[in-house]
This record gives sequence, C-alpha cells and structure tokens, in this order.
Amino acid sequence: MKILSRTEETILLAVRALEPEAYGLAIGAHLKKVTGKSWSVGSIYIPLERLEQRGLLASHEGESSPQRGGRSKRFFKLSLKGLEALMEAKRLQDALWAAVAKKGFSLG
Amino acid sequence: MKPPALAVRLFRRLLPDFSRDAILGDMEETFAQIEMERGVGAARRWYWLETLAALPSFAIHSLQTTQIRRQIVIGNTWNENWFGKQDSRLVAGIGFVLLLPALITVSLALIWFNFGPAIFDLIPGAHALQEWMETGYIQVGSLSFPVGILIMGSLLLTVLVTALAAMKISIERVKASYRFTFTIKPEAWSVVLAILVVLLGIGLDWLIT
Repeated sequence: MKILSRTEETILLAVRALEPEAYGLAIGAHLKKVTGKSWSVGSIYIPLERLEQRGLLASHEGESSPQRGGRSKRFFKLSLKGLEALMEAKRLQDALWAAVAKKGFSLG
Repeated sequence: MKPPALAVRLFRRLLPDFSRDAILGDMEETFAQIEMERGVGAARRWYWLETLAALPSFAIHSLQTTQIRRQIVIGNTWNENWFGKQDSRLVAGIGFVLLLPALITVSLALIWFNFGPAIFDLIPGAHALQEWMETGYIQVGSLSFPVGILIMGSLLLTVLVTALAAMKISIERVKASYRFTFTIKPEAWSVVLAILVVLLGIGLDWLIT
C-alpha cells in the first residue's frame, strides 16, 4: 500500500473525527482549530478528491439549502481501504517515534 | 447579499466537476456567516482573498489531471495499435500543415525542370507567366526572384516542417511508453528537441555547401 503523505493523513484523520458530518467547511474549521492555521478550499478539496479517486474515501451529496445558494454539501467518510491506510500510517509513525525515543532528544 | 459575481465566475471555471457545487456552496455559506458577523465589505474581501488563494492550486490540479488523462489516452493507443486513432489524427494535422509548402515545391520544381510550359498550356491566359518562367526569374513588380532560390526556400521549409512533425510524433510515441513517461521530464525533451534542431541545421548547411 502507498504510504500516505502528511496532508493526506491529516485530511483522513479530520474526516474520521467528523463523521458523519464531514464536509469541506467542517473539515476546514476542524483543521484550523487543531493546527491553528487557515486551510484554503483548494488545500482541502484537492486531497479529498485524490483520496476518493484512490478509494480511501467515499462521498455522497446532502440536501441543498438556501444559505448555500441552493447548493448541496458533499459529505465524506472513510472506506475500509482508508481505515487500513490510516492504521498503517499510525503503525509507521509509532515505529519511527519508538526508534527515536530510545535515543532521546538531547543534542550531542 | 451575494458573493462577488466575477470571483464566483473565476472559481466556477477552474473547479473540478466533481466538487464544484460543494465548494461554491461552502464558500457561499461562509460568505453569509462573515456578512452576518462583520458586514458585507468584510465578506466580499474574504471571498476575493479565498478565491485568489485557491485558484493557483486548482489551476495546477486541473493541468495535472488533464495531463494524466492525455497520457492515458496516448498510452492506450500505443498499446492497442502503432497506427491508432491518436496517430491518425496527428498525421492528418501534419499533412494539412505540409500541404502548402509541398504544393509550392512541386509546382516550382516542375517549372524549374521545364515542365512549366506544358502546365501553362493547360491554363488559359497563363502565357505571360510562362514567359517569366522560361527566363528563370519571377517578376513581382520591379523585383525579380530566381526560381531556384524559391524552390530551395520552399524545399527547406518542407524539410523543416517534416522534421519537426517527425520529432513530434517520435516524442509523443516515446512519451506514450510508460517506462519513459515517468523518468524523462518535459524540460529534458525540450533540450533533446533543441539538440536535434541544431544537428538538422548543421546537416542542411553541410549538404548545401
């Protein structure tokens, strides 16, 4: 399985945290809250589209509302493949951090 | 109050079909929220800033996906048949470009080799032109051009266009092979093309002199 990039991992984690209400705006707000930085729509939707094309995410359209100019929300959720990719990413992170933890963080 | 129409149009142009409505909806929802909290001016400013921030990434994304689709199309054709649909269209386009210089070359060559009179006999009122041809010069106003130079010029043009077309076909075919597609960057191909053009120039120069 292809290793997830940092952005892909972040987006997948945000979707998982917000399910079943994970749509673009909510994901952006969640990421701003966690990272302290604003995320443009491009930096959210482009990875979302890529992840869906790779089968790691699935999406469906919600109801349209006048507040959104009659446009509907697109809700995302993790597929089984996406969940497995996240687990693999976590396993890798844990292994890498464990190796560093033995050495500690003091220089010299 | 609605978001700035121009910004919406800009956005609509570049957004992928897949998420166009969802993104425009998200933007409009945030616009309404900012308008309520900080006023319409702030909401409009936010919309423009967000549009400008997002457009480059969507433009690049659009180019990347177009390129990938193109490579898949060419790759499929390559795999299916050497003279597939893609090549046929390419050859037809090149043929059209070549038509004019080829016609000029052939007709001037016919004149140069004294086939001119025979041709002009078939065209009523072309005897004046025939006389010019027989002297070996074409008179345009007060200027006269040796026919040989014109033949050489159109011949060189034909050779150049043919060589460039052949390069284009070769490059497309090599790019279509997946093995090369991901190892040779377009910039590298430009260098290869430049070297080939220089070599062609040297070769022609050597042939002529």
